[in-house]
Amino acid sequence: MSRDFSTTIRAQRFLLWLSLISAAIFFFSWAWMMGFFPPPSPSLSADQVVALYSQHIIRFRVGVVLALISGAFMMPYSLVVSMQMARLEKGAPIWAILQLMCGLVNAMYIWGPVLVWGVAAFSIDRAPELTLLLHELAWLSYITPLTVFPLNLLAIIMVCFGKDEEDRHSAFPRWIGYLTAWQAVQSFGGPIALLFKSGIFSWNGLIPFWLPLSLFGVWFGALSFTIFRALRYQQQQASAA
Amino acid sequence: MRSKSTLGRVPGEAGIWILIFGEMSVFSALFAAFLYYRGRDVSGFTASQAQLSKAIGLLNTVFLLTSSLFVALAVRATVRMRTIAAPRLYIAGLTCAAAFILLKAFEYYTLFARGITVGSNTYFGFYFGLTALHLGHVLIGSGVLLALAIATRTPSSEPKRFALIESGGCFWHMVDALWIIIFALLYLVE
Amino acid sequence: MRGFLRDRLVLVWLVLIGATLFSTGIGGTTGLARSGDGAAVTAAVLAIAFGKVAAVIFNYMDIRRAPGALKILWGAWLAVVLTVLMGIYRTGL
Repeated sequence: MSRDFSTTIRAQRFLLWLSLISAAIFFFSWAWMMGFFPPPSPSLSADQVVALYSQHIIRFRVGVVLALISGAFMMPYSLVVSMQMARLEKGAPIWAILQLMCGLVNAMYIWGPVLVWGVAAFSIDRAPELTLLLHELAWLSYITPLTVFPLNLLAIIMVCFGKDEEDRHSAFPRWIGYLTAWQAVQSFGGPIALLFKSGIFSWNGLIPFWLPLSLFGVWFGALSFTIFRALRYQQQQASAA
Repeated sequence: MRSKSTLGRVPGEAGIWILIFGEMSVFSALFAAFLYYRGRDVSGFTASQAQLSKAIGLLNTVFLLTSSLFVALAVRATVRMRTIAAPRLYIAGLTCAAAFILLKAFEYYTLFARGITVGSNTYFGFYFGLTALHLGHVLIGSGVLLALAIATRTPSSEPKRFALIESGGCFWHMVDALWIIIFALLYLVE
Repeated sequence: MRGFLRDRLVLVWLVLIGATLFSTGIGGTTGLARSGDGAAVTAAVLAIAFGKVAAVIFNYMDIRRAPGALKILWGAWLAVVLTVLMGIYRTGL
């Protein structure tokens, strides 16, 4: 017996679309306008970093503006995920609440570093060491904090495997549970970037960047798919009732 | 008459195999990178490798192989509803994992004491990177084993529940399998 | 006790331990290669390592009793990775 959130289905759908569109805008701003995809090497000198920013400084700054507007895309996403989790939990929806808390903190790690990059680009004629400092601060904040992410994913995993609902209509089929578990395992590669300035383990390397990002993209898309599918089913159930 | 057993049964469930194939492939890329960089500095890598203790590596391998045995026995005990034996076997596996972690910490300590750290050279960059990443998997796997030890105290014939338990066991075996290759590459390659 | 030693899982463990002791003996900077062919020793070490991994996958992960497709997939994966790693090792010599 799940909670009846059918009155919020339209709102959930709206928030999920909002999140997806914001995510696309964010990625465009960060990857192309700010030019950070692929990421610059951590072993660049202060002067090289200044040169990097100065190359397309206007485009960079406008990219920062757009990224700051669209950067909170994980907030509505986390809320919809939690709503879907809460309707499946019996009693107090503890996992949904945990997920929401962690999702909130995670969301800040996405736009927070963008603000610091923006500050770096704001007065590009300051001492190069200062620009390098802000550049590194932002990159390491973006890539390395593991903090609440595994907890966030654990909450989702609990619902995937503990739910009382058929997989084919569910927002949380068991395969999402395994995909989330894989994501959780991979995410531990992030903090390692604090120890390396080049190679596979650095912030532009395979383990802290490429793999977690790719897996996050797959997971983000897959979960969006199953949530939309579930919302459709929930709406059908509600109108049939 | 063909019995069901000849058709084969997927251990755990499909989802865990995506995870295992995926993770082992990721590590394989790291292994390839290690051997590639080794090829560019064979003497440097060999000299650095000499700083490690084969004995410690061997002992750690024995710990993980033994833990895998316990976990395999534990999963079999689970399917046979042995609610006393199964948790004990998972805990036995967990104990071996703890021994691995402690020995690895000791090994790190001996290296740090000699001034060898992650930035010392390319070899040790890989040594610390690979073993730390693997250690993360050991820690996660240990959490899984603990959860399995607790869960198997109550009997259940629900197939989905068993699929999850068996998947957890497979994750642990993956941790063991990865170490087997890491041990060979870091300690034994000539 | 005898039943214990006939247990497939235990037998696999014994083989794994034995293989580990053997390759540890021949490998590394204090192994056989001091006296000769490092490449051959390494090839043996890698092959044994992958043999051990296969033993874990097929016996402990129970792929031995899995559908044929999964068995073939694992066999192929192991073969490909071992070959690639050996290849990279040899080009670096």
